[in-house]
Amino acid sequence: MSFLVAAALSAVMSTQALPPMLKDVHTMVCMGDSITEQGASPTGYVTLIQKALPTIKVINAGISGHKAPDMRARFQRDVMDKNPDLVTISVGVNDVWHGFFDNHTKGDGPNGVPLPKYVADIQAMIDVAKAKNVKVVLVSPTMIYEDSKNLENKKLGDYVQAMKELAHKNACGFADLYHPFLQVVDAYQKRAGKGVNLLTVDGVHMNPAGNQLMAHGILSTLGVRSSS
Amino acid sequence: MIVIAAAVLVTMRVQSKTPTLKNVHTLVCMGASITQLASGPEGYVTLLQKALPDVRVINAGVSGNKSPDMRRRFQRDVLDKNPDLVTINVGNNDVWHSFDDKHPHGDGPNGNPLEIYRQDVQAMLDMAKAKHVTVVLLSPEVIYEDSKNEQNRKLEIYNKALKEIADRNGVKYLDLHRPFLQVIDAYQKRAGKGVNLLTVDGVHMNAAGYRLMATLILDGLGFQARK
Repeated sequence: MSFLVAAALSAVMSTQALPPMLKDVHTMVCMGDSITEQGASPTGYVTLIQKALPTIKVINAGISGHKAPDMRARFQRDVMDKNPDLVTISVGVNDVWHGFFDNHTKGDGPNGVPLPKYVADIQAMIDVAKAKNVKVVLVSPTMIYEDSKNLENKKLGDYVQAMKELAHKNACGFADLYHPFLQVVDAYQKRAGKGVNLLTVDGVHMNPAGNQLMAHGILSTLGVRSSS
Repeated sequence: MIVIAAAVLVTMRVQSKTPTLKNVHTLVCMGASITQLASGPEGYVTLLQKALPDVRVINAGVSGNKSPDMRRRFQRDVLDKNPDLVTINVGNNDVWHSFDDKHPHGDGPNGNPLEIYRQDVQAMLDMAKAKHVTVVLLSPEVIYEDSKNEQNRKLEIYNKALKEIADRNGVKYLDLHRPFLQVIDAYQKRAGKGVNLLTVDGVHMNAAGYRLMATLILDGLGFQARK
């Protein structure tokens, strides 16, 4: 009897502790590219989210090099088949970055993903998730090299804006990581100059400080106040 | 002919230097562990040396040092090297160690009282002045990445004292404390607390922290380090 009461209380308490967006969320999948794949390291953003949400099963579905079409192609298998209640989709860095490969200094090379295709693929993933009542949080791409004025980040800004509009149109969550990353980098470089990475190990992939910034931004969007 | 070429070369070199760096051939960096560790590839002493290839830069940092330790070895480790310029980075341990052994208000016996700190810095300035060595005082940076903690509040008082001494003696003072806290605050506003951004342990610098130090010092010397 007392055991049942205790169990019921515990269930109520854990439900109350969670913000509305995480209500009835038992499983969450983090879809993404290498930044998400590496997010499983001890200081990675996926690990930090799992630590902040101990009652939720957090699954890492990041694969290095992936762009919107790759994620769309494996969305059923790597996300839907896990029966999640919520999915975060972090996509866009490779779609833009790889467009600059092989001396395409304007980012219009064949390895990139054009903006209309990017938008269509994200919309398709949203549709698949919504059909099964899976909540979607779109996580904006972060940064391509620690320089807020370079062509890569200018182009990335267009993709971030398009993602924000998609989130609005589909009533999804949206975590803007792009602006906080560039704002912190600018605040640092204003005093230290350029040339040393602050939030990444190579301009793109996160160091512990970059992962913490990601986790904080995503948790804030989920309604979780991280301890500070 | 050779004499003229040499004279032109010397003129060019002198012109390319800022007032503080004019006629500086040897620079000694006095300090504690932050300075001692700064001769690694990413350290601030290495970065200064790279930016000033014509200047001989000597590292005189010793881990754990407070102002009395530096004063005691100032003749041997600084003046005996015949420098034209010395940077003195002192204060972190003087404040930090006063919190040792559960003295949460910084009144423990391992610290260095403000009055001694003042006297020691003044004594080093007097010794340098007697030998016509230019001094640049570098403020202590940060004690744990938290702009509101007791350690950094106490550090602020030592910084203020350092600036007063600099003003009174007409020497240059470079505030490293405020830029460090401003960058940390800009980050933590968006990322929360808990992960170090500019240090490896809250006190000793990572590559980004050293880069910030070096740029602030070079800027302070009038050398355009910022792109």
